[in-house]
Amino acid sequence: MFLVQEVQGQVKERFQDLKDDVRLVVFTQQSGCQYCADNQKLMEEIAELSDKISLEVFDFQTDKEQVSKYAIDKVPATAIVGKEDYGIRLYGIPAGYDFISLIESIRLVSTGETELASEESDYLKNLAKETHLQVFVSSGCPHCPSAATLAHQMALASSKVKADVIDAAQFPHLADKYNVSAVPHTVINETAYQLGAVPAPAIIEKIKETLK
Amino acid sequence: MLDFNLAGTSLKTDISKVFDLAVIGAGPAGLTAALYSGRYRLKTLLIEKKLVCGGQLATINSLENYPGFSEPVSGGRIAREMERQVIKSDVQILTAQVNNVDFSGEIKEIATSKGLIKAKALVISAGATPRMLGVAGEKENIGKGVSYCATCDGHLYIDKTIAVVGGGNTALEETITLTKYAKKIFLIHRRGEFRADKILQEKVRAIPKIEFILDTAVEGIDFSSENGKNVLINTKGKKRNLEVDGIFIFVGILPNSEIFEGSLKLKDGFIVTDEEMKTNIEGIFAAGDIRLKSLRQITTAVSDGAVAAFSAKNYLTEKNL
Repeated sequence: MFLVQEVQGQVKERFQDLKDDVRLVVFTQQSGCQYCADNQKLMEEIAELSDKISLEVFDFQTDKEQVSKYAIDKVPATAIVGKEDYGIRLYGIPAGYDFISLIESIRLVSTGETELASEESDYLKNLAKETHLQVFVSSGCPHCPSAATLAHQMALASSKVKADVIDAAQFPHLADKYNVSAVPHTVINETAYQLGAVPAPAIIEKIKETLK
Repeated sequence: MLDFNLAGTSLKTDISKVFDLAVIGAGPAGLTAALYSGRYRLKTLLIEKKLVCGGQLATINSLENYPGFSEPVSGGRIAREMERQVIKSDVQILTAQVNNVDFSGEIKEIATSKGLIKAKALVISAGATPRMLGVAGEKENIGKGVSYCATCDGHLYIDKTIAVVGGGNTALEETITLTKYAKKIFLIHRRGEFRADKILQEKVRAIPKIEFILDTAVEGIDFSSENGKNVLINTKGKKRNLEVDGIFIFVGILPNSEIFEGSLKLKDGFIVTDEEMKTNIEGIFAAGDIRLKSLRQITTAVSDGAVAAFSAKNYLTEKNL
Protein backbone atom coordinates (compact mmCIF):
# COMPACT_ATOMS: atom_id res chain seq x y z
CA MET A 1 0.00 0.00 0.00
CA PHE A 2 1.29 3.44 -0.91
CA LEU A 3 -1.40 5.40 0.89
CA VAL A 4 -1.41 5.00 4.64
CA GLN A 5 -4.76 5.18 6.41
CA GLU A 6 -4.38 8.80 7.49
CA VAL A 7 -3.64 9.94 3.92
CA GLN A 8 -6.54 7.83 2.61
CA GLY A 9 -8.79 9.72 5.02
CA GLN A 10 -7.49 13.09 3.86
CA VAL A 11 -7.96 12.17 0.21
CA LYS A 12 -11.51 10.94 0.88
CA GLU A 13 -12.27 14.22 2.58
CA ARG A 14 -11.08 16.10 -0.47
CA PHE A 15 -13.17 13.85 -2.70
CA GLN A 16 -16.36 14.60 -0.77
CA ASP A 17 -17.52 17.32 -3.13
CA LEU A 18 -16.74 15.48 -6.37
CA LYS A 19 -19.59 15.89 -8.89
CA ASP A 20 -18.94 14.35 -12.31
CA ASP A 21 -17.43 10.91 -12.71
CA VAL A 22 -13.68 10.86 -13.27
CA ARG A 23 -11.75 8.29 -15.27
CA LEU A 24 -8.08 7.80 -14.56
CA VAL A 25 -6.70 6.50 -17.85
CA VAL A 26 -3.32 5.02 -17.05
CA PHE A 27 -0.68 4.09 -19.63
CA THR A 28 1.95 1.62 -18.59
CA GLN A 29 4.70 -0.55 -20.03
CA GLN A 30 5.85 -4.00 -18.99
CA SER A 31 9.58 -3.34 -19.04
CA GLY A 32 11.98 -0.45 -19.33
CA CYS A 33 9.83 1.92 -17.29
CA GLN A 34 11.00 2.43 -13.71
CA TYR A 35 7.78 3.82 -12.24
CA CYS A 36 5.03 2.41 -14.51
CA ALA A 37 4.00 -0.39 -12.16
CA ASP A 38 4.09 1.91 -9.13
CA ASN A 39 2.06 4.56 -10.94
CA GLN A 40 -0.60 2.01 -11.85
CA LYS A 41 -0.70 0.75 -8.26
CA LEU A 42 -1.06 4.30 -6.93
CA MET A 43 -3.94 5.05 -9.30
CA GLU A 44 -5.64 1.79 -8.31
CA GLU A 45 -5.48 2.90 -4.69
CA ILE A 46 -6.87 6.35 -5.58
CA ALA A 47 -9.75 4.86 -7.55
CA GLU A 48 -10.69 2.84 -4.46
CA LEU A 49 -11.27 6.02 -2.48
CA SER A 50 -14.33 7.31 -4.34
CA ASP A 51 -17.16 5.64 -6.25
CA LYS A 52 -16.98 8.56 -8.69
CA ILE A 53 -13.51 7.48 -9.84
CA SER A 54 -12.84 4.63 -12.23
CA LEU A 55 -9.62 3.30 -13.65
CA GLU A 56 -8.63 2.17 -17.13
CA VAL A 57 -5.20 0.75 -17.82
CA PHE A 58 -3.60 0.49 -21.26
CA ASP A 59 -0.27 -0.76 -22.49
CA PHE A 60 1.82 1.94 -24.14
CA GLN A 61 3.34 -0.50 -26.63
CA THR A 62 0.35 -2.63 -27.62
CA ASP A 63 -2.79 -0.50 -27.16
CA LYS A 64 -1.94 1.75 -30.09
CA GLU A 65 -5.47 2.98 -30.62
CA GLN A 66 -5.80 4.32 -27.06
CA VAL A 67 -2.27 5.74 -27.11
CA SER A 68 -3.21 7.75 -30.15
CA LYS A 69 -6.68 8.67 -28.86
CA TYR A 70 -5.19 10.20 -25.70
CA ALA A 71 -2.09 11.48 -27.53
CA ILE A 72 0.31 9.80 -25.09
CA ASP A 73 3.99 9.94 -26.01
CA LYS A 74 5.74 8.70 -22.87
CA VAL A 75 5.09 6.59 -19.78
CA PRO A 76 4.07 6.44 -17.01
CA ALA A 77 1.18 8.60 -18.15
CA THR A 78 -2.19 9.34 -16.58
CA ALA A 79 -5.01 11.15 -18.35
CA ILE A 80 -7.50 12.63 -15.92
CA VAL A 81 -10.80 12.57 -17.77
CA GLY A 82 -14.12 13.99 -16.65
CA LYS A 83 -17.33 14.51 -18.62
CA GLU A 84 -14.96 14.90 -21.53
CA ASP A 85 -11.22 14.70 -22.11
CA TYR A 86 -9.98 18.18 -21.25
CA GLY A 87 -6.37 17.41 -22.19
CA ILE A 88 -5.19 17.08 -18.60
CA ARG A 89 -2.19 14.75 -18.24
CA LEU A 90 0.33 13.74 -15.62
CA TYR A 91 3.60 12.18 -16.77
CA GLY A 92 5.58 10.28 -14.15
CA ILE A 93 4.38 8.96 -10.83
CA PRO A 94 3.07 11.91 -8.82
CA ALA A 95 4.94 11.48 -5.52
CA GLY A 96 5.87 14.01 -2.86
CA TYR A 97 4.37 17.41 -3.53
CA ASP A 98 3.20 16.24 -6.99
CA PHE A 99 0.63 14.08 -5.21
CA ILE A 100 -1.22 17.30 -4.36
CA SER A 101 -1.34 18.12 -8.10
CA LEU A 102 -2.91 14.73 -8.80
CA ILE A 103 -5.63 15.18 -6.18
CA GLU A 104 -6.30 18.75 -7.35
CA SER A 105 -6.59 17.65 -10.99
CA ILE A 106 -9.17 15.02 -10.07
CA ARG A 107 -11.18 17.60 -8.12
CA LEU A 108 -10.86 20.02 -10.99
CA VAL A 109 -12.27 17.79 -13.73
CA SER A 110 -15.02 16.56 -11.43
CA THR A 111 -16.24 19.89 -10.04
CA GLY A 112 -15.48 21.92 -13.17
CA GLU A 113 -14.55 24.86 -10.95
CA THR A 114 -11.47 26.85 -11.90
CA GLU A 115 -10.08 29.91 -10.18
CA LEU A 116 -9.52 31.77 -13.43
CA ALA A 117 -11.13 35.17 -13.87
CA SER A 118 -13.91 35.18 -16.45
CA GLU A 119 -11.88 37.31 -18.89
CA GLU A 120 -9.00 34.84 -18.60
CA SER A 121 -11.29 31.88 -19.34
CA ASP A 122 -12.86 33.78 -22.25
CA TYR A 123 -9.48 34.57 -23.75
CA LEU A 124 -8.43 30.91 -23.53
CA LYS A 125 -11.73 29.67 -25.00
CA ASN A 126 -11.36 31.94 -28.00
CA LEU A 127 -7.72 31.14 -28.79
CA ALA A 128 -7.11 31.03 -32.52
CA LYS A 129 -4.72 28.10 -32.23
CA GLU A 130 -4.22 25.07 -30.06
CA THR A 131 -2.00 25.79 -27.09
CA HIS A 132 0.23 23.26 -25.39
CA LEU A 133 1.46 23.79 -21.83
CA GLN A 134 4.15 21.50 -20.41
CA VAL A 135 4.84 22.09 -16.74
CA PHE A 136 8.07 20.53 -15.49
CA VAL A 137 7.88 19.76 -11.77
CA SER A 138 9.67 17.72 -9.12
CA SER A 139 8.44 15.80 -6.13
CA GLY A 140 10.53 17.93 -3.73
CA CYS A 141 9.29 21.27 -5.03
CA PRO A 142 6.63 22.94 -2.87
CA HIS A 143 6.02 25.66 -5.47
CA CYS A 144 5.16 23.15 -8.18
CA PRO A 145 1.54 22.18 -7.34
CA SER A 146 0.46 25.82 -7.85
CA ALA A 147 2.00 25.91 -11.33
CA ALA A 148 0.68 22.45 -12.24
CA THR A 149 -2.83 23.21 -11.07
CA LEU A 150 -2.95 26.52 -12.95
CA ALA A 151 -2.03 24.80 -16.22
CA HIS A 152 -4.66 22.13 -15.61
CA GLN A 153 -7.26 24.81 -14.90
CA MET A 154 -6.43 26.44 -18.22
CA ALA A 155 -6.93 23.12 -20.00
CA LEU A 156 -10.27 22.68 -18.27
CA ALA A 157 -11.37 26.16 -19.22
CA SER A 158 -10.61 25.78 -22.92
CA SER A 159 -10.74 22.97 -25.45
CA LYS A 160 -7.89 24.77 -27.19
CA VAL A 161 -5.47 24.22 -24.28
CA LYS A 162 -3.73 20.94 -23.41
CA ALA A 163 -1.72 20.76 -20.19
CA ASP A 164 0.93 18.16 -19.40
CA VAL A 165 2.56 18.06 -15.99
CA ILE A 166 5.91 16.29 -16.32
CA ASP A 167 8.22 15.13 -13.55
CA ALA A 168 11.62 16.49 -14.58
CA ALA A 169 13.55 13.85 -12.64
CA GLN A 170 11.63 10.98 -14.24
CA PHE A 171 12.02 12.40 -17.76
CA PRO A 172 15.57 13.82 -17.73
CA HIS A 173 15.87 13.75 -21.55
CA LEU A 174 12.88 16.11 -21.80
CA ALA A 175 14.26 18.33 -19.06
CA ASP A 176 17.48 18.48 -21.12
CA LYS A 177 15.62 19.12 -24.37
CA TYR A 178 13.84 22.16 -22.91
CA ASN A 179 16.86 23.31 -20.84
CA VAL A 180 14.99 22.88 -17.59
CA SER A 181 17.37 23.64 -14.74
CA ALA A 182 14.84 24.86 -12.16
CA VAL A 183 11.24 23.93 -11.47
CA PRO A 184 8.42 24.74 -11.89
CA HIS A 185 9.20 25.51 -15.53
CA THR A 186 6.31 25.83 -17.96
CA VAL A 187 7.00 25.40 -21.66
CA ILE A 188 4.40 27.19 -23.76
CA ASN A 189 3.82 26.06 -27.34
CA GLU A 190 7.40 24.77 -27.52
CA THR A 191 8.83 28.26 -28.02
CA ALA A 192 8.23 30.25 -24.83
CA TYR A 193 8.67 29.39 -21.20
CA GLN A 194 7.79 30.71 -17.77
CA LEU A 195 9.68 30.00 -14.57
CA GLY A 196 8.19 29.67 -11.13
CA ALA A 197 4.63 29.54 -9.87
CA VAL A 198 3.10 32.67 -11.35
CA PRO A 199 -0.47 33.97 -11.52
CA ALA A 200 -2.61 33.27 -14.61
CA PRO A 201 -2.01 36.62 -16.39
CA ALA A 202 1.73 35.90 -16.69
CA ILE A 203 1.07 32.60 -18.50
CA ILE A 204 -1.56 34.25 -20.72
CA GLU A 205 0.96 36.93 -21.71
CA LYS A 206 3.40 34.21 -22.76
CA ILE A 207 0.67 32.42 -24.73
CA LYS A 208 -0.03 35.70 -26.56
CA GLU A 209 3.69 36.00 -27.39
CA THR A 210 3.74 32.56 -28.97
CA LEU A 211 0.69 33.28 -31.11
CA LYS A 212 2.03 36.52 -32.59
CA MET B 1 11.67 6.48 -1.74
CA LEU B 2 8.20 7.40 -2.87
CA ASP B 3 6.08 9.25 -0.39
CA PHE B 4 2.48 10.35 -0.73
CA ASN B 5 1.15 13.00 1.57
CA LEU B 6 -1.53 15.59 1.41
CA ALA B 7 -0.85 18.77 3.23
CA GLY B 8 -3.94 20.20 1.64
CA THR B 9 -5.85 23.38 2.24
CA SER B 10 -9.39 23.81 3.47
CA LEU B 11 -12.02 22.99 0.91
CA LYS B 12 -14.80 25.53 1.02
CA THR B 13 -13.76 28.55 3.00
CA ASP B 14 -16.52 30.97 3.84
CA ILE B 15 -14.98 34.44 3.77
CA SER B 16 -18.19 36.45 4.01
CA LYS B 17 -18.06 36.92 7.80
CA VAL B 18 -15.73 39.14 9.78
CA PHE B 19 -12.90 37.07 11.26
CA ASP B 20 -11.48 37.69 14.72
CA LEU B 21 -7.98 37.15 13.37
CA ALA B 22 -6.62 36.86 9.86
CA VAL B 23 -3.08 35.61 9.33
CA ILE B 24 -1.25 36.43 6.11
CA GLY B 25 1.26 33.75 5.13
CA ALA B 26 1.47 30.10 6.19
CA GLY B 27 5.14 29.64 6.98
CA PRO B 28 6.09 28.47 10.48
CA ALA B 29 5.28 31.88 12.03
CA GLY B 30 1.81 32.08 10.44
CA LEU B 31 1.01 28.42 11.10
CA THR B 32 1.91 28.87 14.77
CA ALA B 33 -0.08 32.10 15.09
CA ALA B 34 -3.08 30.35 13.51
CA LEU B 35 -2.65 27.31 15.77
CA TYR B 36 -2.62 29.42 18.95
CA SER B 37 -5.47 31.59 17.70
CA GLY B 38 -7.57 28.53 16.85
CA ARG B 39 -6.93 27.13 20.32
CA TYR B 40 -8.05 30.45 21.83
CA ARG B 41 -11.24 29.78 19.88
CA LEU B 42 -10.86 32.94 17.88
CA LYS B 43 -12.52 32.77 14.48
CA THR B 44 -9.32 32.48 12.46
CA LEU B 45 -8.46 32.61 8.77
CA LEU B 46 -5.01 31.70 7.47
CA ILE B 47 -4.28 33.06 3.98
CA GLU B 48 -1.57 31.39 1.87
CA LYS B 49 -0.81 32.12 -1.77
CA LYS B 50 0.61 28.69 -2.55
CA LEU B 51 -1.18 25.35 -2.56
CA VAL B 52 1.49 24.11 -0.17
CA CYS B 53 1.90 25.59 3.30
CA GLY B 54 5.28 26.01 4.96
CA GLY B 55 6.88 28.87 3.04
CA GLN B 56 10.68 28.62 3.07
CA LEU B 57 10.43 25.76 5.59
CA ALA B 58 8.91 23.56 2.87
CA THR B 59 12.05 23.96 0.75
CA ILE B 60 14.45 22.69 3.43
CA ASN B 61 15.59 19.17 2.70
CA SER B 62 17.32 18.42 5.96
CA LEU B 63 16.81 20.39 9.13
CA GLU B 64 19.15 19.69 12.02
CA ASN B 65 18.55 22.41 14.57
CA TYR B 66 14.83 22.25 15.24
CA PRO B 67 14.40 21.03 18.82
CA GLY B 68 12.63 17.71 19.23
CA PHE B 69 14.17 15.98 16.23
CA SER B 70 17.45 14.26 17.04
CA GLU B 71 17.89 13.10 13.45
CA PRO B 72 17.76 15.45 10.46
CA VAL B 73 14.16 16.01 9.40
CA SER B 74 12.71 17.46 6.20
CA GLY B 75 11.19 20.91 6.49
CA GLY B 76 8.27 19.72 4.39
CA ARG B 77 7.41 17.11 7.00
CA ILE B 78 7.41 19.63 9.84
CA ALA B 79 5.31 22.04 7.75
CA ARG B 80 2.78 19.30 7.00
CA GLU B 81 2.46 18.37 10.67
CA MET B 82 2.05 22.04 11.61
CA GLU B 83 -0.68 22.40 9.01
CA ARG B 84 -2.55 19.34 10.26
CA GLN B 85 -2.36 20.70 13.77
CA VAL B 86 -3.78 24.01 12.55
CA ILE B 87 -6.67 22.37 10.70
CA LYS B 88 -7.46 20.33 13.83
CA SER B 89 -7.83 23.55 15.80
CA ASP B 90 -10.64 24.69 13.44
CA VAL B 91 -8.71 27.32 11.54
CA GLN B 92 -9.83 27.92 7.97
CA ILE B 93 -7.10 28.06 5.33
CA LEU B 94 -7.65 30.06 2.16
CA THR B 95 -5.43 29.70 -0.90
CA ALA B 96 -5.30 33.23 -2.24
CA GLN B 97 -2.93 35.99 -3.22
CA VAL B 98 -3.14 39.14 -1.10
CA ASN B 99 -3.26 42.10 -3.47
CA ASN B 100 -3.89 45.03 -1.19
CA VAL B 101 -4.63 46.01 2.40
CA ASP B 102 -6.64 48.78 4.03
CA PHE B 103 -5.81 49.42 7.67
CA SER B 104 -7.70 52.71 8.02
CA GLY B 105 -10.73 51.38 9.91
CA GLU B 106 -11.06 49.35 13.09
CA ILE B 107 -11.97 46.38 10.87
CA LYS B 108 -8.95 45.59 8.71
CA GLU B 109 -9.62 44.87 5.04
CA ILE B 110 -7.53 42.54 2.92
CA ALA B 111 -8.17 42.40 -0.81
CA THR B 112 -7.30 38.94 -2.12
CA SER B 113 -7.60 37.06 -5.40
CA LYS B 114 -10.60 35.26 -3.82
CA GLY B 115 -12.36 38.36 -2.58
CA LEU B 116 -12.32 40.84 0.28
CA ILE B 117 -11.42 39.54 3.75
CA LYS B 118 -12.45 41.43 6.87
CA ALA B 119 -10.82 40.86 10.24
CA LYS B 120 -10.74 42.53 13.65
CA ALA B 121 -7.03 41.79 14.08
CA LEU B 122 -4.26 40.75 11.74
CA VAL B 123 -0.97 38.88 11.97
CA ILE B 124 1.38 39.51 9.06
CA SER B 125 3.74 36.59 8.53
CA ALA B 126 4.27 36.90 4.79
CA GLY B 127 7.89 35.80 5.11
CA ALA B 128 10.69 36.43 2.73
CA THR B 129 12.12 35.29 -0.58
CA PRO B 130 15.73 34.48 -1.43
CA ARG B 131 17.85 37.53 -2.13
CA MET B 132 19.55 37.75 -5.50
CA LEU B 133 23.29 38.24 -5.70
CA GLY B 134 22.79 41.23 -7.97
CA VAL B 135 25.52 40.49 -10.52
CA ALA B 136 25.52 40.62 -14.30
CA GLY B 137 24.03 37.54 -15.91
CA GLU B 138 22.15 36.40 -12.83
CA LYS B 139 18.62 37.48 -13.63
CA GLU B 140 18.65 36.36 -17.24
CA ASN B 141 19.95 32.92 -16.26
CA ILE B 142 17.42 32.09 -13.56
CA GLY B 143 16.12 28.72 -14.60
CA LYS B 144 18.99 28.32 -17.06
CA GLY B 145 21.54 27.33 -14.46
CA VAL B 146 20.91 29.85 -11.71
CA SER B 147 18.83 28.45 -8.85
CA TYR B 148 17.77 29.36 -5.32
CA CYS B 149 16.23 26.03 -4.22
CA ALA B 150 18.34 22.89 -3.74
CA THR B 151 15.39 20.66 -2.82
CA CYS B 152 13.53 21.73 -5.96
CA ASP B 153 16.33 21.64 -8.50
CA GLY B 154 19.16 19.52 -7.07
CA HIS B 155 18.13 16.41 -9.02
CA LEU B 156 18.72 18.30 -12.28
CA TYR B 157 22.44 18.33 -11.44
CA ILE B 158 23.18 14.63 -11.02
CA ASP B 159 26.94 14.09 -11.58
CA LYS B 160 27.35 17.74 -12.55
CA THR B 161 29.68 20.44 -11.26
CA ILE B 162 28.05 23.32 -9.45
CA ALA B 163 28.91 26.43 -7.52
CA VAL B 164 27.20 27.43 -4.29
CA VAL B 165 27.42 31.04 -3.10
CA GLY B 166 26.98 32.04 0.53
CA GLY B 167 28.36 31.45 3.98
CA GLY B 168 25.39 31.26 6.33
CA ASN B 169 23.50 28.26 7.69
CA THR B 170 21.26 28.04 4.64
CA ALA B 171 24.20 28.00 2.22
CA LEU B 172 26.00 25.24 4.11
CA GLU B 173 22.88 23.14 4.74
CA GLU B 174 21.91 23.34 1.09
CA THR B 175 25.48 22.52 0.02
CA ILE B 176 25.21 19.31 2.03
CA THR B 177 21.87 18.55 0.32
CA LEU B 178 23.43 19.14 -3.10
CA THR B 179 26.26 16.67 -2.42
CA LYS B 180 23.61 13.95 -2.91
CA TYR B 181 23.43 14.93 -6.58
CA ALA B 182 26.49 16.84 -7.79
CA LYS B 183 29.91 15.27 -8.34
CA LYS B 184 31.76 18.47 -7.47
CA ILE B 185 30.75 21.62 -5.59
CA PHE B 186 32.64 24.90 -5.37
CA LEU B 187 31.53 26.69 -2.22
CA ILE B 188 32.18 30.38 -2.74
CA HIS B 189 32.09 32.86 0.11
CA ARG B 190 33.09 36.49 0.11
CA ARG B 191 34.74 36.31 3.54
CA GLY B 192 37.56 34.17 4.91
CA GLU B 193 35.26 32.48 7.41
CA PHE B 194 31.74 31.14 7.29
CA ARG B 195 28.99 32.68 9.38
CA ALA B 196 27.21 29.31 9.64
CA ASP B 197 27.09 27.31 12.88
CA LYS B 198 30.44 25.64 13.62
CA ILE B 199 28.88 22.17 13.53
CA LEU B 200 27.75 22.73 9.94
CA GLN B 201 31.19 24.01 9.00
CA GLU B 202 32.75 20.83 10.40
CA LYS B 203 30.35 18.68 8.36
CA VAL B 204 30.97 20.57 5.14
CA ARG B 205 34.74 20.42 5.61
CA ALA B 206 34.58 16.64 5.92
CA ILE B 207 33.00 16.18 2.48
CA PRO B 208 35.75 15.68 -0.14
CA LYS B 209 33.69 16.75 -3.17
CA ILE B 210 33.31 20.27 -1.78
CA GLU B 211 36.07 22.73 -2.69
CA PHE B 212 36.22 25.97 -0.74
CA ILE B 213 36.80 29.25 -2.51
CA LEU B 214 36.96 31.84 0.25
CA ASP B 215 37.63 35.60 0.29
CA THR B 216 36.03 35.56 -3.11
CA ALA B 217 33.29 37.61 -4.70
CA VAL B 218 31.16 36.46 -7.61
CA GLU B 219 31.26 39.26 -10.16
CA GLY B 220 29.35 37.84 -13.06
CA ILE B 221 27.56 34.83 -14.49
CA ASP B 222 28.07 34.00 -18.15
CA PHE B 223 26.11 30.94 -19.19
CA SER B 224 25.63 31.90 -22.81
CA SER B 225 29.11 31.72 -24.29
CA GLU B 226 30.38 28.89 -26.45
CA ASN B 227 33.05 28.16 -23.84
CA GLY B 228 30.45 26.69 -21.51
CA LYS B 229 28.93 28.07 -18.35
CA ASN B 230 31.24 30.34 -16.46
CA VAL B 231 31.14 32.12 -13.14
CA LEU B 232 33.49 35.07 -12.94
CA ILE B 233 35.09 35.23 -9.51
CA ASN B 234 37.45 37.66 -7.85
CA THR B 235 39.71 36.46 -5.04
CA LYS B 236 41.34 39.52 -3.45
CA GLY B 237 41.82 41.18 -6.82
CA LYS B 238 42.70 38.03 -8.75
CA LYS B 239 39.99 37.32 -11.29
CA ARG B 240 39.27 34.03 -12.96
CA ASN B 241 36.51 32.00 -14.58
CA LEU B 242 35.07 28.95 -12.92
CA GLU B 243 33.45 26.49 -15.29
CA VAL B 244 30.29 24.95 -13.82
CA ASP B 245 26.96 23.45 -14.89
CA GLY B 246 24.95 25.57 -12.52
CA ILE B 247 25.07 27.94 -9.60
CA PHE B 248 22.97 27.94 -6.41
CA ILE B 249 22.73 31.22 -4.55
CA PHE B 250 22.01 31.50 -0.82
CA VAL B 251 22.92 35.03 0.21
CA GLY B 252 20.11 36.02 2.50
CA ILE B 253 16.50 37.01 2.09
CA LEU B 254 14.25 39.88 1.10
CA PRO B 255 11.07 40.48 3.11
CA ASN B 256 7.74 40.17 1.23
CA SER B 257 6.57 43.55 2.48
CA GLU B 258 5.88 45.59 -0.68
CA ILE B 259 2.14 45.86 -0.09
CA PHE B 260 2.69 47.21 3.43
CA GLU B 261 4.92 50.08 2.31
CA GLY B 262 3.24 53.32 3.24
CA SER B 263 0.92 51.79 5.81
CA LEU B 264 3.33 50.10 8.25
CA LYS B 265 6.63 51.24 9.68
CA LEU B 266 9.43 49.38 7.91
CA LYS B 267 13.20 49.35 8.21
CA ASP B 268 15.16 47.99 5.25
CA GLY B 269 11.87 46.45 4.17
CA PHE B 270 11.35 44.58 7.45
CA ILE B 271 8.31 45.38 9.62
CA VAL B 272 9.21 47.09 12.88
CA THR B 273 7.50 45.66 15.97
CA ASP B 274 7.91 45.68 19.72
CA GLU B 275 8.52 42.55 21.80
CA GLU B 276 4.83 41.76 21.72
CA MET B 277 4.90 41.76 17.90
CA LYS B 278 2.82 44.95 17.75
CA THR B 279 3.36 47.11 14.69
CA ASN B 280 2.75 50.87 14.57
CA ILE B 281 -0.94 50.23 13.84
CA GLU B 282 -3.23 48.98 16.59
CA GLY B 283 -4.52 45.48 16.00
CA ILE B 284 -1.84 44.61 13.48
CA PHE B 285 0.98 42.29 14.46
CA ALA B 286 3.94 40.89 12.55
CA ALA B 287 5.80 37.61 13.01
CA GLY B 288 8.61 35.60 11.43
CA ASP B 289 11.14 36.53 8.78
CA ILE B 290 9.23 39.63 7.68
CA ARG B 291 9.85 41.22 11.07
CA LEU B 292 12.91 43.29 11.95
CA LYS B 293 14.96 41.07 14.27
CA SER B 294 18.41 39.61 14.74
CA LEU B 295 17.93 35.84 14.36
CA ARG B 296 15.75 34.34 11.64
CA GLN B 297 15.18 30.66 12.33
CA ILE B 298 12.24 28.23 12.39
CA THR B 299 12.45 28.36 16.18
CA THR B 300 12.24 32.15 16.31
CA ALA B 301 9.47 32.16 13.69
CA VAL B 302 7.25 29.84 15.75
CA SER B 303 8.01 31.89 18.84
CA ASP B 304 6.99 35.09 17.07
CA GLY B 305 3.80 33.43 15.86
CA ALA B 306 2.78 32.34 19.35
CA VAL B 307 3.49 35.78 20.82
CA ALA B 308 1.61 37.53 17.98
CA ALA B 309 -1.50 35.39 18.50
CA PHE B 310 -1.33 35.99 22.26
CA SER B 311 -1.03 39.76 21.75
CA ALA B 312 -3.88 39.71 19.21
CA LYS B 313 -6.11 37.86 21.66
CA ASN B 314 -5.31 40.43 24.39
CA TYR B 315 -6.02 43.27 21.96
CA LEU B 316 -9.43 41.83 21.06
CA THR B 317 -10.28 41.38 24.75
CA GLU B 318 -9.15 44.89 25.76
CA LYS B 319 -11.04 46.49 22.89
CA ASN B 320 -14.05 44.30 23.48
CA LEU B 321 -14.08 43.36 19.82
